[in-house]
Amino acid sequence: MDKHTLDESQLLELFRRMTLLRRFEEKIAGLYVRGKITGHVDLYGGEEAVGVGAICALDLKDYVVSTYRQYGHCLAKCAAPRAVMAELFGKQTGISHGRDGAMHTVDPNLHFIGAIGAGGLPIATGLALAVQYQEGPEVVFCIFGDTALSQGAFHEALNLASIWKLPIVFICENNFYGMGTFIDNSVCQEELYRFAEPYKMPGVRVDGMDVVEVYIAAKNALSLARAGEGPSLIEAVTYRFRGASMSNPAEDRAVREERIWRERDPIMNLRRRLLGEHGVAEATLDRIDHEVDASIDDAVKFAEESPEPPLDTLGKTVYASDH
Amino acid sequence: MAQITYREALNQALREELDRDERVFIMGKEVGYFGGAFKVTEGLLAIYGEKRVRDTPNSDLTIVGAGIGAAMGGLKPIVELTTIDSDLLAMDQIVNAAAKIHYVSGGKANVPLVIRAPQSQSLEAYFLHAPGLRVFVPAMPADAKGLLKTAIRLADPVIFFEHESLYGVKGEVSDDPDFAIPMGKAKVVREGKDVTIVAYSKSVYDAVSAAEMLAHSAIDAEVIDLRTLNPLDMTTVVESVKKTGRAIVAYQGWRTGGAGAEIAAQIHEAAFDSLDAPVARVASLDTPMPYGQHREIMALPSVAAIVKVAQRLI
Repeated sequence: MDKHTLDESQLLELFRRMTLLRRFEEKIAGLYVRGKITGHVDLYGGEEAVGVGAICALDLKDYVVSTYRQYGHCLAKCAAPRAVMAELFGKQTGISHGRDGAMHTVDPNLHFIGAIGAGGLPIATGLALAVQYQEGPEVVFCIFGDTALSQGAFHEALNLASIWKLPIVFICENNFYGMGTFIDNSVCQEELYRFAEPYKMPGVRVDGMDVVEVYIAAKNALSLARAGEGPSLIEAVTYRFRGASMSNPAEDRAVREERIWRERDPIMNLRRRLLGEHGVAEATLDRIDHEVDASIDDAVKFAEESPEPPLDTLGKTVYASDH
Repeated sequence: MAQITYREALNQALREELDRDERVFIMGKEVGYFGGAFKVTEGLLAIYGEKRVRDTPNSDLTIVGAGIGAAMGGLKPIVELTTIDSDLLAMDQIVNAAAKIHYVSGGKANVPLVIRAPQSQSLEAYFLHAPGLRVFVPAMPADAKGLLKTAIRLADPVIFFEHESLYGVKGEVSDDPDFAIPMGKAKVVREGKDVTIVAYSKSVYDAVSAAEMLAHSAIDAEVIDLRTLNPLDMTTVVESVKKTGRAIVAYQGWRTGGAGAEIAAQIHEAAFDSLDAPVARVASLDTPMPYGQHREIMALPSVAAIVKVAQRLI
């Protein structure tokens, strides 16, 4: 076992955070079907162990740069469920005052940036440059999907991060699908962690359905970056339980494939471990479930009751500078 | 005040802002040891070191993206691209990220990034079409310096066009370190009463030459240098058109869908009743730039073309 171990209270926190992401998503899927949430909502269910395991390894001051599949990452980075839900409703009280929805949440207070696909990699690299330039202690976690590896930005960003030895960890959520395209058709090297070697950085593959394994790998990479040892690449092998987004159901995937992965549900896994290995009482976990549900119901009520952004303000934050 | 070139004026602006603010740094291909593809950053590496004058790989997309990230991380990056053509490789970062981040963050995040783009093709209309971006197009050495300083101090992302044929042009430039030119303020470079010629970048020089030729045939042309396209100072333009009753927009972009189309439309909207003739455009031919020098001259808007159009309007 690695030097980074987790005690029971930390495991319970990982369980709480993953449960929040899952139940939040189930709630918004229902609201979407009922027309309460519109626009585009990318789904994360099944991949919670990656976002939660990685982001919980960070301190609050560290940065997360994510993709459009990001409200899960955003919640894992401790965004208030009320603010995230209100944003999905397009309300003034949302994290971006209803300007963004679920596409690229950006909140400097949370040290969180959502970007578009592989577009986050160059931005994360620049953030890491800013940290290095100002001799700060922060590290940047850049989380992206396997599809990003078929874009040039992946090469350029890893190359630059390695040349400048930047404090950044590249974390690839390999869920095997870019929308409906299987990875065979988009990346020639399916063992994605092997892309680390040509960029002269450490690369590891972890079980992305095991939150503890992800957490430990993230802590190791974080320690390297914090110590000025430069970037790393983590490939977390995972699976998206639903379609890529609410408007793209995964009807074409094999039923058997889905069933195998659902048996490896990261939340159920951790639940079994907490009950078995750690002797945690079932009532403790049920209480967490209830608390999470209550916070989500509260977020929905808050979002529903919040005002729409005043129409006359919609054109007003296009520029930071007046003339 | 001293007579210096457009290139030297930019170099001075960079030095002054590097001195003024520790957060300012320059990165791009060739900016350090080579002194810039057009020698604009010459001498800066020796003074400010590799931390603040950073040579980068030939990765335009990622250098611009890294500029965005660095800006969001508290720095004031100046990215030099080899030419504006390289901007096209970075278009995703410029349009989908730099231009939108302030807005999609609900006004919480800023991207104080300057992208310096030596201009061979005239692609300014592409950037004018992205709300959230500032677009600067200085023609005169003094404006090149003053507007670059403004761009560096600004909280918004700026695409800063430097026309390649202007680097050697000389002009009077202030050496006061507090000197800066505000954005969104067009300059009337020649007063006249018969026709308004609106221009920017290299075309300002052509417009002034055309006005001098028109004076021989007793046509008194007013020439306006826009200096920035976003913000666009239509107040100065409309005031002039209301006086002259006629307007020509002269620019090196392609005619179809160019900045001139936008300016002409806005003149029609704001000053229709004052116009004695439709607003005319003198722009590049709608063709990729041909290689041979003679053909290149044919494809670009010329002084003679401006003169001819002005005579037709009157």
